[in-house]
Amino acid sequence: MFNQLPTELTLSVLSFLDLSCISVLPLVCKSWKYLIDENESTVYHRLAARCGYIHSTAVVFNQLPSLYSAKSLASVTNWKSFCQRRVHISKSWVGKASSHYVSYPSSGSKVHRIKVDEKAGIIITSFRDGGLCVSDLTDNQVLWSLPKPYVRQFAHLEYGEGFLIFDRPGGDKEVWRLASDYTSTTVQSKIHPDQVAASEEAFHGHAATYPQGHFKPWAVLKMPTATSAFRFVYPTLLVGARDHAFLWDIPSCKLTQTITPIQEPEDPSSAFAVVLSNAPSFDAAIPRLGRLGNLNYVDVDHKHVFICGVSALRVFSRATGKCILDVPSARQEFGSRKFSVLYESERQTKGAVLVNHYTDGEVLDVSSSSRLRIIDEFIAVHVSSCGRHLVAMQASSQVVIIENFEGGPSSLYNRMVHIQLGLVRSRSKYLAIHNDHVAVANNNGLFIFSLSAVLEPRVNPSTSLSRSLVISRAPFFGYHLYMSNLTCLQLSDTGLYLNWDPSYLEFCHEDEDEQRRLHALFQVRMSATDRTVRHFRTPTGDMIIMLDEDDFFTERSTVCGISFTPGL
Amino acid sequence: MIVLKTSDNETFTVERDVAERSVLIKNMLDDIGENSEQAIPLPNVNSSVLKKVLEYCEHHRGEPLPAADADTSQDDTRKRTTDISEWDQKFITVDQEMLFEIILAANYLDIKSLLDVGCKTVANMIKGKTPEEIRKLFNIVNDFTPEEEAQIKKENEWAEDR
Repeated sequence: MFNQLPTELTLSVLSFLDLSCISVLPLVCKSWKYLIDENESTVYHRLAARCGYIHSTAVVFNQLPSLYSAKSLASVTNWKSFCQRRVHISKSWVGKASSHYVSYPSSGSKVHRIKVDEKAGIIITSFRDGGLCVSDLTDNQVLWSLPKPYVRQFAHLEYGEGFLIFDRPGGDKEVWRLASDYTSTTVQSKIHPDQVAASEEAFHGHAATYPQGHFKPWAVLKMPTATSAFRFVYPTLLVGARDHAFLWDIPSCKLTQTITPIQEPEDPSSAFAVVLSNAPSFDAAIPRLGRLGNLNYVDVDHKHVFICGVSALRVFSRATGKCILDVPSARQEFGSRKFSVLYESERQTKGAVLVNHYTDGEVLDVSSSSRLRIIDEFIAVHVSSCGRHLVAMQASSQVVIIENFEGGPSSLYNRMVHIQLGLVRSRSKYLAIHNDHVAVANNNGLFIFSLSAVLEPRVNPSTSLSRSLVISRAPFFGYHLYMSNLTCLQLSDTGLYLNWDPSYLEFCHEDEDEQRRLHALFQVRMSATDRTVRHFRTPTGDMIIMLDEDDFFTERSTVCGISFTPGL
Repeated sequence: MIVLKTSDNETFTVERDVAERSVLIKNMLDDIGENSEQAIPLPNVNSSVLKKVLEYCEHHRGEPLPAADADTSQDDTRKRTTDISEWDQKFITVDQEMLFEIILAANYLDIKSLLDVGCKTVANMIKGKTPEEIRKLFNIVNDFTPEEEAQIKKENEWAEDR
């Protein structure tokens, strides 16, 4: 290639190049093409490491099945096709490569919650009328199930690393583990006799599929007090109660930490003031935050606990048990930058089921904004996979992103971005995050954006704010009447999963008129301006958000979604 | 002090810690022992290149050397970036012929950091360029027919940025 260099050194040069640069090289001349073809495996293996698809070149090709699901690796035969597949999936997520709608009828009807494990090849569902079902992700069959009376109505599901957790009628938590991960050395003391009986019955009902998708009893965790929201991020189960956050280690079934109070903890912003003042610390009243109210949602990682209450979003340190961040629900503006979806900017790549919208971006100056406060609620929060940023969803079709939430209160406003997804006063439904992808379902539609793209403009101020963020939308999941039935949204490497009426999906899939109608409906809905009456002014001038009512109910609701892998 | 002898029979006298930036020289010195006053022959490096290489070694003397058994994961993190420090950037601003000579010498003398600087520099020259720009840069003649070119372009479409 470079006449002066031996192949080995030429490959060293190539290992510093990105995919788009490498792809140009074979076009230079025959000898360059020959060199790259001859060393294809080395070139793309190093590229995979460079792009972060594998953590280092120490990962050999045969190890890929332990890192990626069979679905992610379908038709991958060498390092080049592996890179090719990763590129397709990431382009597909942002609407720049083909994707398609899918439905999973064997997941059952009246679906309430969904968990997907692509590596194990299973979908786990709970139902509005009770029961739990595990179905095969690829060949549409039920693998295992627990009956209705055993699993309560509207049971919430949590899942991770083969552990399945759901709530019992009294609030205690059931823990089950994938049969294929089960070892005889496990802690058996917390298994409940009810679980054993249910497990035997479930096994006999599905003996033919054993062990695929089968679960075995692990424990029933007795809650110390009445509890509400819970969230499992392996190995920690976080259970929120009125004034406590309980953290359980699931492999050992031990309650390892309790954080309290969460309702009126010490004010994190006053911590410095107390130290600096000359008042003797023992008689100085410690400033406390106002009441948090009922819990809407909780999240956890190895360092923090995140709680959405009616009146605020709070972050607690697991090391100290103290509140380190408090973001009240009532504010004038949620951050210095605001993006809103521009409906007329819709663009679609051939073969993609997502359409892309540009956003309207504005930089807000807090001092010049009106004194009007908007009173809303945070109803969901997730921490980014790097553990540094937060994505929080408000009750009214708005998402707030907090960059580097540990960075202290002083510049917090500048590190917050809010994104308006559709009409201002529509009900938010579900927030999901997987690696860099954030998906939000609200009554206006289903939106997807990249977290790094939101944070990017700060790095590069020359980028025009209004053009810097592209938000994708899945039009078929936009019919707001059906959207009001949505109760779950999950993301995986290659797909997005939600509960939807499958007949409606098939219908609009085939019918071009219906597609046009849907499109028009979205446009009309989005251009509606007479909906501002749906708020309430308090005597102080503050505005309380009034939400659209859920006005439609479909009996059929199964797991549908989008697959970001090529082909059907 | 250590004496190095180049392919064109020039000798360079340098301090031991400067010469030992080269793992090859370090190993040779370890083998022949402390007290040898014999010149170390470097038959693959000429004087103009060695002069350049020693300038690099002089500037970077005392910096920690990468461990001999540096694991590959560290290697990969290093490769994620094509940034070159300001001094190195200035140092490596040489004509193409010298650049390749430095890469070859760094490889032969086993000076990992210099080899990286050289390879990154070539990579940065290619980065973002069209095939035609690359041909011009390295004086390469396009030996594809338009049909062949179109075919290869199609095969590599998937890797384009958008």
